Amino acid sequence: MPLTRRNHWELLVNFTTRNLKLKYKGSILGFLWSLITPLLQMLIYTIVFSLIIRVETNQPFAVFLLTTQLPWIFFASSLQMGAGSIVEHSNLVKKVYFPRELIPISTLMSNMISFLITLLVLAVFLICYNQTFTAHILLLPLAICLLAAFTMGLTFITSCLAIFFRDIFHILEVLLLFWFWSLPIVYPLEYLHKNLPEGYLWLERLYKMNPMVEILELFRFAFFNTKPYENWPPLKYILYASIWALVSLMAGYWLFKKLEPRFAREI
Amino acid sequence: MQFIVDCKTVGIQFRRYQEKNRMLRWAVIDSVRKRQKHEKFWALHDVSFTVKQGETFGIIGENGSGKSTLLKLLTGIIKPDLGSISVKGKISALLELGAGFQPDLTGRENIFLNGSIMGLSRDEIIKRFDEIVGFSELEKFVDTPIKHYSSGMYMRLGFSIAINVDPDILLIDEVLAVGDQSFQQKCMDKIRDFKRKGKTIIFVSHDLTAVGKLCSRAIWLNFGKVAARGTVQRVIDFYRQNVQDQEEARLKAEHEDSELELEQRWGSRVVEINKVEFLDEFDQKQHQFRTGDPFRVRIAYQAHSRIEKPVFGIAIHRNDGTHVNGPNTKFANTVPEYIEGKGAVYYEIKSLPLLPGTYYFTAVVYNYECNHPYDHHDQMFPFQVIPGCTEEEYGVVWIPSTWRYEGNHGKIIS
Repeated sequence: MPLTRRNHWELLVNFTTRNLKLKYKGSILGFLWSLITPLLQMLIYTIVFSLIIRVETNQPFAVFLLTTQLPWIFFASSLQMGAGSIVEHSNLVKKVYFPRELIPISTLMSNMISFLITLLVLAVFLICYNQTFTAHILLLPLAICLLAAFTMGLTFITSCLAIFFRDIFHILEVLLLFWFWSLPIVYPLEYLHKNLPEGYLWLERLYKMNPMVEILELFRFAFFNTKPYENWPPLKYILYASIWALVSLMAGYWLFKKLEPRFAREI
Repeated sequence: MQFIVDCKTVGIQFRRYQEKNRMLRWAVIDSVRKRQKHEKFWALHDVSFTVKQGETFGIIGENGSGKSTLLKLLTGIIKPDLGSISVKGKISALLELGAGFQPDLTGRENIFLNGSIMGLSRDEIIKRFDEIVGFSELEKFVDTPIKHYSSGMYMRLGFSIAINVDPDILLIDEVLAVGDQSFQQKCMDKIRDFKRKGKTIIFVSHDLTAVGKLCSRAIWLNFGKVAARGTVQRVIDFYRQNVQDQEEARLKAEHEDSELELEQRWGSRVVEINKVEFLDEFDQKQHQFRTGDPFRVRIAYQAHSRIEKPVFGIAIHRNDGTHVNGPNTKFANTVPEYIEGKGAVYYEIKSLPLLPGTYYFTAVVYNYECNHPYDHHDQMFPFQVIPGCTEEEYGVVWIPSTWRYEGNHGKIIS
């Protein structure tokens, strides 16, 4: 069916609003859950990591955590929901033709809307903790774009692989667990260099190869102006993250398109 | 001449697996074994046809003949492995109605969602909204989540959206079998309307009557291949003939089987009924007769000794157990003095009054008092009656009769 570009856009909007409507339909607190869940998580992490384990940060721990925890939640839930997205729409995929990529994209978009709203809550927190915004906030759109592109690419991959191998869901669960702890979310990045014993340079190197490190750090650069985020981030950070985001997006889309003709037969 | 649909030597191959390999380890094992275990088969093979603008084209075939696969290829849901398909214009499929419905959303929300899946813009949906709702007769329920709809309401909404997409080509797949009579009528009207506007329709069905009424040309798909093509009448005749041949073969096999089966046969066998044959007016063996046809049965027997005054009898039962008749030679006052050796008895009906259906024939031979069976074959010989000289369809038999009016009435129309 020759759909026009405009129709595609409208279909995408419809899918996205449908996702959001279905997510909160029938629950009393509705959309508030998107805020309550991360805030409760923040509460428990703050208690554990700033009162018990005593992670020391130059910023109030609650906001230090939120600046990277919120992007992480967006990343992880997009990957997980994205993996199931095509399989859940098997009925539609088998019966009607439309560009299949609209399904994972709409999953990402509805997650993005929830994410943006939680960022507003973060802004309120920052103000409560007397953090001042500087020109660094201009980095925020860039950070969001890089995160979205990187996530989108991986979501393409998980969504189409899930059609062929249901193992993806289990693999993803483990992978995300590893990934969460190997990111500077509940601890500052300097800890890595400071606390790793001699001879573990390889681990540090390995750690820093993970592009999510740079992307999440960019969020902190955008929100904070205190040490170690008082300056603009090094250009190589942005470059490295951008390359990864682009590679992920292109590889994901390529794989998706390559497998797309087989969806209706295999699902 | 421009073809709106041009299907050229299309082939598609499926793997016939028992269970799809959703587990990574099987995929790994398979790739090592190079997937030798998967038997492949052609779901469609060398299928070519063209459809012209404004034509109503039929595709007939049994279940599993590849019809649905062909429709999926036409809508672009799957791609062919061989050949090419070109479709010009917007195509809307009444495949599974309401495929994209979300039970938790309201009728209104679903119209917008489903409409845009089918390729309508928001403005177009707004413009057609009233018509969609009106046609589906769901005005009162449009803001109810459709999980509360009955299945009929669900189908009505689905059909209503699909037909109001205003496609250039409409694909119809058996869907008209659903819904109540009046809604079905409404759908047929809408489809005829569509036809009148010069739009193209591809109609897939095994309902030959509907295909015959709607379509001008057709193909018959059999095991993934085009078994016949041409004008709809030619294709339907060809298909019917094939189905009849198969049915004939089946009945024949059943008939032959029955000779071995003992459960439905009893008696002392001093006289044996060896063979029961149904014959048409040309003395040809048949298992199918039309209502009103001459019907003749030859019952061949062998008497192992001289038997005094044997009584031959028959019975006809419909396949639901209805006992239609049960005459014998004693009632008919045609009992022979004796029989000896081989011979045959003929039972003849000049004009078979049975209405279409499957019937079982019983053949017996008893002593004169009818209390001692020599040989009794109970409902062992099936035959079929197909529509013939009458349109009647209720009851068991067709009784030749006439109608007459008294009083003030107009001209008698047929």
